[in-house]
Amino acid sequence: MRRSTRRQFLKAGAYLGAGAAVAGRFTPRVLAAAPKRGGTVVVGVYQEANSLNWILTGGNISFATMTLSPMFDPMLRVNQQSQLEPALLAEVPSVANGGISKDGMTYTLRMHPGLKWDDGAPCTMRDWAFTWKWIMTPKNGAVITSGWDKIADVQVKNDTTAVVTLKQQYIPFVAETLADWQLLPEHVQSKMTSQDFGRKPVGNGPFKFGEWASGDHITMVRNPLYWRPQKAYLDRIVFKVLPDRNTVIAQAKTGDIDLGIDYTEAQIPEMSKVPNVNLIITHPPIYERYHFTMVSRDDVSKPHPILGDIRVRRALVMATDRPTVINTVLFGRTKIAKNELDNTAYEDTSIHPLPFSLDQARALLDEAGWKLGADGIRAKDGQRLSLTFSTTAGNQTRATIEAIVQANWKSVGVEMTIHDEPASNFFGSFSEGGGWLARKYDVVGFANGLSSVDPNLRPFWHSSEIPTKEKPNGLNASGLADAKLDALLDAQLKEFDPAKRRQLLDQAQVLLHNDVPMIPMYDRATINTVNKRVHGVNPTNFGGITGLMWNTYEWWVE
Amino acid sequence: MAKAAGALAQGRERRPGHQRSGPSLWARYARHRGAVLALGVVTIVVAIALLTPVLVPQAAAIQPHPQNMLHTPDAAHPLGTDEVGRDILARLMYASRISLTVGVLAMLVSIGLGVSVGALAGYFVGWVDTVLMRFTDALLSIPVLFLLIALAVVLGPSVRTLIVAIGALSWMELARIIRANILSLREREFVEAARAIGAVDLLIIARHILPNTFGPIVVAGTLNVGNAMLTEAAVSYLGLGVQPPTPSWGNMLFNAQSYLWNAPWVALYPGLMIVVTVLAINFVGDGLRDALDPRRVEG
Amino acid sequence: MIGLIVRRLLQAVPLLFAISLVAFVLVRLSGDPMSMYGANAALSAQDRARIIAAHGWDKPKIVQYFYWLRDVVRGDWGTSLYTYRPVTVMIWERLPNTLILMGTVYVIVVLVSVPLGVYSATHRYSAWDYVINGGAFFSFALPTFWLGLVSIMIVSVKFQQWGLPHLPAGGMYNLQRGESVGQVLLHLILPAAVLSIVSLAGYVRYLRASMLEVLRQDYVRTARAKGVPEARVLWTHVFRNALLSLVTLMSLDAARIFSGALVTEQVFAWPGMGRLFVENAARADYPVLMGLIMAVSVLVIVFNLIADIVYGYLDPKIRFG
Repeated sequence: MRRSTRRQFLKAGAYLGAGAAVAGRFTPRVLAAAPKRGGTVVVGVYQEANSLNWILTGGNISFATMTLSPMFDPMLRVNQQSQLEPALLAEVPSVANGGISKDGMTYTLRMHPGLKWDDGAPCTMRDWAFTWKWIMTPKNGAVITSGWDKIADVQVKNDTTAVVTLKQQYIPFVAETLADWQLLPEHVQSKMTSQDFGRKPVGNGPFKFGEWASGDHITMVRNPLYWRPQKAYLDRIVFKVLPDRNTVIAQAKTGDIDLGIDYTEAQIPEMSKVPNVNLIITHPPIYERYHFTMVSRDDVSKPHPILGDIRVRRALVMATDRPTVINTVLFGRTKIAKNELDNTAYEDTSIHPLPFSLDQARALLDEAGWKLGADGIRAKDGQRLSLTFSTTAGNQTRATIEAIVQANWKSVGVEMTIHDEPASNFFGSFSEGGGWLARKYDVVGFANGLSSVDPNLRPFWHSSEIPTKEKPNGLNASGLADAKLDALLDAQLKEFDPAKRRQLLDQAQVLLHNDVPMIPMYDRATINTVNKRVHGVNPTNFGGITGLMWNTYEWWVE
Repeated sequence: MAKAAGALAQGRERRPGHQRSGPSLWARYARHRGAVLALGVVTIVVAIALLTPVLVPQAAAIQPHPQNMLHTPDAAHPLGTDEVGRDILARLMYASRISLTVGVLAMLVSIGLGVSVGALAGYFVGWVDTVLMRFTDALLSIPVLFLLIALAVVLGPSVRTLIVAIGALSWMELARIIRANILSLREREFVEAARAIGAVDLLIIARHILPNTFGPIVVAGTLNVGNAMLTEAAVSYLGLGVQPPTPSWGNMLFNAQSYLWNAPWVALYPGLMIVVTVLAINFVGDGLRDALDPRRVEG
Repeated sequence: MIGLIVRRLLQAVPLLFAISLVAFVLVRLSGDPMSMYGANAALSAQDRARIIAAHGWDKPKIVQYFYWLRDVVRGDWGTSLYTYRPVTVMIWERLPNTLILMGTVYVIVVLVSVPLGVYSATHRYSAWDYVINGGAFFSFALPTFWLGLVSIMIVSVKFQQWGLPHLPAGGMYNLQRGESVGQVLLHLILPAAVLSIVSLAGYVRYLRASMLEVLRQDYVRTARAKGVPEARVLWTHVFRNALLSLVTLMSLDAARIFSGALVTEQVFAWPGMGRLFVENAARADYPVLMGLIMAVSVLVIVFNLIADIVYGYLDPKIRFG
């Protein structure tokens, strides 16, 4: 109420032609000092959470995990340096502090004492053991079981201590099962389905569930039983569901929403002009890439007739004007990508992206035997150098960039024909002929990134992950098969010495760079806006949009 | 709502089979001043579409100059530049070729299907009629946009797909109109006479009945050109229409979406081109209706 | 009449089966529900294989259709693959919102189109007739999404920048002020106006054409020749006859009140049936899409039948053979 009165007053000032002066006197930053209690923050999202039960959401950086974050504290959280730090657990388990046994098979987890669920029931390590069993029971419908499926046994010693035994050495275990995963309260979840819990969850975060009006909004209110003594400042956080990004913009401008989530780069100039909001840009380990199909579509043992030649792949990378794309379409707010470890502590900064050079690209194509034809397109042995390309239809940024790349390639005599597909087809499985996984096109463009804070590159590039008729569900659809890289990717999963693991990953990144299985286009920035009346929004880079929510208990409004 | 009502309006306003007499077709058309003006507009748009390759190099419409993005209109770019620095005027001109092609060819497909289905259903009645008309109902009951998306995905997005898909999904109302007309025509003397002398059914349809439904076909045809252009825009607006680098008014609007707020002109011009062209084509259809149905002019 | 109803209802059964088969195949061909997990590497190959097998997505499409059909025949429309909620609940939730929007548009269109159509038919070739006709043509030529975006750009964003009273850009109410009749009405103005504008034209032109048709009939000339006052001719003969066809058109259009407006609901963030369809098409959530398509198909068939009955009742000349 107070807020709308103030806004009306400001509006009245504007009518009098004295808007600037009046607004200036009320400029909050001058007065802003101590956090205040109370108030509501409205978060505008263009995608509604599908469930508020982590195990059903199906993603670590998604609108659903973002939405449920204020209601659940994780065991460990990822901080602004992309490092793990304790949350519900009292310490991050490591070999050094005895949390991980020397052989890497046994983990001892210690929780803060006296934790409570927001319904008052105690929150203990028993809930964590229950969460493991619940996830591994197929009828409960957990989407992701990675990490949890490596657990052989959990011994709960007491409320705050449990000892976990693994089936095999698996370093990502900590990141995959403790960081950002939410616990399930045994006393509630065991009495209902995962789906029902996901509509009306009981949590342990700074806020607790209020109401969910489908298609419209989700409300959460301050949790008085929150374990951090200061509790949340805000009374409420509301997630308002909007249909698309244009509406998010419109409502951020009018002040109907306080946080606008996930803009495109094209919207940066517009949003930076809006007087009442601040832009918040973070850099998660997600990058946009153009994957080359390196093997033939049906027989992965045969190289792709054109892109099987590394000289052609290198030429295409060098013919792609990534610097211009970044400086124009993306307004210079990001950098050329390298691989999945970009923007993490494991990024190998000694690797330099291939330069943009049309001359070198032409020379490489000449060398590979592709000669310029009368139609301006190169050819070899009667085959034209024409490549099909697809990406997700309906994404303006991708549509803009593909047009630039198409022209780039044309100038070195390579034809690119575009066949964009809706995401519901493009990301379809191998068996259903999905555009990407079934290698339907010669080049495909999309974004992907690390699935947890662990720098595990194996799912992306190991040759055992190439989707084939017999094994259709891997993600290495390019078909990159490099025995040396395979060995490194396997070895890093067993190396508990952080320094040595880093070396293995550095070597793997160099091989990945030299094999050129893709054009790493650019690192995807997460672009959000926050109304200037909201304070304390201080996101992590790692979490993307979910990273906005890691400290909601510190948010406050004027 | 609008489309169904429009087609029904078309269907009700005409009585086929009248012998034309009096002033020439053009003279009757020319009485409708709006239609004459509209014909002028359509002629200009068609002329631009035909002459564009001579007037403007294709590269101007296709070659991106990202450094030059979203320029406000000036002497070099009278309508400004788009999100990758291409001249909007050149793109609008090249896009007119695609939009008109899609409009006209999709119209031909829809006329072919609509006339065939309507004529068969209306002439044979009985179970042929029931099956065809219930099938028509079925197609009308699934949202067209959804069917278009499904077809675009199954056939792969391309200009050809658009023409086939739009044509294949916009014949239903015409089929109903043709059927209704033929239902009344088949009882007329000249058809009965043809039957009496032993003419074959298909021959009767082709030689005697179809020429008498010429009016509704022409009118529905012009309306369908406009509707096909609107549909092309809607499908391209979802990113499933004409693929880059070829510009169409629809995909220009799609690309402009992100820049609605800081470069509104990028979205304004293609939208205006669609409105003006479709408006003019529909007016031509209205004029043709008047001209082909002499009773209407009596007032 | 009873015979007609029974026959049409019997025809509807195989028709609905045919629609469901065609729709299912199209829906499944145009998207793979696995796509909702995108490229997320957190799902291991084992996780993906487990999910595919659990839903039977590795089976032929026709088998999947019969799984779906079996459940539907038992009265189970399934649950959304994404939100895990019953399809029927999701549709019931959106239906009232769509009815508010489309019902308003329907009423506006009828209330506005009748006077316009009557005026333009009775004042043929007058200046206002040209204006009304031109306006109708103009609205025929407007792409709905473009009109929606332009109206948001001007009426909600620019008006606010210029310090004028402005309308909300989307949604059904302002969360800071809560849901109330006033809020919903305020949010209804823009989408209802846009939809009314693009829908009005058809009704106006249809009504005008029907009235002109009646005006040409012999009995009208006779009535005029007999010296019946013009107002009475228009009212008793012309308007009432033209109204018959308007009622038919209205009952045909009634089904569309339930199916919602795909584009307008999307542009204005209106949480109705059309938006439900668009959202779920994007992730190939076929149980929801099939539920929506079948619900709309049934309504179309029912209202087609009602239209025929109404027409037959009002106009005894029509015989259904």
